[in-house]
Amino acid sequence: MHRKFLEYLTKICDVYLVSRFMDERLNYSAQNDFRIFIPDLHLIDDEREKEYKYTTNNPGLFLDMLTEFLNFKEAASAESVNMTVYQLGDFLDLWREISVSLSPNTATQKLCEGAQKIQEAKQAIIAKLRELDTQFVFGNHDFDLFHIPDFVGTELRYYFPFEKASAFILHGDVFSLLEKNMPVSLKNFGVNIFGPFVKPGTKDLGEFRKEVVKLGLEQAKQSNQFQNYIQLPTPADLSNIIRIDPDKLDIDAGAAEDNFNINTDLTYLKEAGEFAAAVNNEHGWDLRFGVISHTHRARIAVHDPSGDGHNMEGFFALIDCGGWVGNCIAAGMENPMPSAQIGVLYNNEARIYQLFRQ
Amino acid sequence: MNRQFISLKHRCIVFMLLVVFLYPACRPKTVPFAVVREADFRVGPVDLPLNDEGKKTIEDFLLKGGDNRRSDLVDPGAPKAYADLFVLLSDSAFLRRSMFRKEGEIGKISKPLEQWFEKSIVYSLIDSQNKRPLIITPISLADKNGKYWWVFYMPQPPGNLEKDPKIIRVLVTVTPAKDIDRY
Repeated sequence: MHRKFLEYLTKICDVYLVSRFMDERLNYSAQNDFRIFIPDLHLIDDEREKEYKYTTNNPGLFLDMLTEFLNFKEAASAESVNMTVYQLGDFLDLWREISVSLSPNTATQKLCEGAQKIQEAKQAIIAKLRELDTQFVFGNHDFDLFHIPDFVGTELRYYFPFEKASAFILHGDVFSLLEKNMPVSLKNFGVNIFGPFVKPGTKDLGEFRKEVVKLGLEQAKQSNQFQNYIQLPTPADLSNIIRIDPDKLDIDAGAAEDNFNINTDLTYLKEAGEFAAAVNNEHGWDLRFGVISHTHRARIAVHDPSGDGHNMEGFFALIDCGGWVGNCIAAGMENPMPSAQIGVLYNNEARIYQLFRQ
Repeated sequence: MNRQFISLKHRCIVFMLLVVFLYPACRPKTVPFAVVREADFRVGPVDLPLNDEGKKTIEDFLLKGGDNRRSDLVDPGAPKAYADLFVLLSDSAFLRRSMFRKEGEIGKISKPLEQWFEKSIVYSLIDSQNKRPLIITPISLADKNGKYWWVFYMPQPPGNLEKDPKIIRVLVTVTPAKDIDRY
């Protein structure tokens, strides 16, 4: 089914394998269940887009990709394989769209108008996502959508399979101490006011707060320092990636090791593992891996103390599906390319792809 | 002492107090109402007293976070959280309108239900599945988690109309949340 999926994807663009992890310990061996994960999109309306130096990458490619998902879904269904698509949060970017931060109990007209503007500007994309029956996750940039009835069905977390969960899906900001501790109003203000000045390729958001506190908000606004702190590091380093040959599609034939490009970037791996352990403790489950986005750094990170490929003790995998904003670069590449990543999961095998089209 | 100055100052104070106290009273208000949502976001009506099948139907809906299209779990704590409510809804003796209300107070729920529901009973229900509003108004209770309305139905005319009618069916439907625990 992975191969069949690539048949559809390679019709419309170049596909690069960013990371692959195959392990029975994922405990996800259902042969009739194929899952696709779409990471951060940060959609805003067309007028607001003009004010930003970075925005959702290649919407034309994204739309064509969704069309191929629909085609694949039909083909998979003919083989009794069920396909589910998830959007992992930061679907709409309300922090960039709307200049006011909402308190938890406020559902203002401004929120509805902001969301509506984005929906009207991106209606083709949104319509296709809904046609796919996409399961949406709340991100930090679009968390306030829970106030709007039209976004019913969006959730903070999913667990699957239903009978006894071995995996969770969530945005990922819950693992960030910075996200938890920085006031929403400051984050919203920073992204909305300073964001238009930020170029891709900038420093860690974690330093932003210190800078603003040091300078004071007014002075920080006038200084150039803030530009360096809004966006997470880009281009995201994907390390080694492999272009999928559309005539072969078979990446098992020596082009990549069985477990390919398992990342040394372990951000949130510990926190995600602790989260899984707490949930396991509460419900008597056995969560083995989690799927997130939020970081805009596509990778698979694995905690495997035994290293023998069998021992379950302490095993946990984190599948970070990247994003569709900013740039990425890999070993051997001269220039970065726009980030356009997705995650897929089938039969104990998780993969992350980077898509590219001129 | 300048009498005119003091008088003006006092007039201003009185005016401000009037504005502060009268403004909330003058703002338009709406009667609270419950809404039965689209088919994907409701379950039921399920017959009461609740049997095993009915309990599983509601439980699966809650496990999926109130979305019937879904095959994943969203709220794994739901069975435990509502276990005692399901026991109550399986008990014929409890399933009377009077048992749902606080004694002497038509607008407040009884103590056994306070664990799951907000205190006020809502008697206005919008349900476009029906041709017109029901004659015997259902009792709609807002779930304390802010996510659901639980709508409890009684027999409608020309059925046997008792002074204290039985509660014979329940429907659970999603409502826009007021707040969500984010972290």
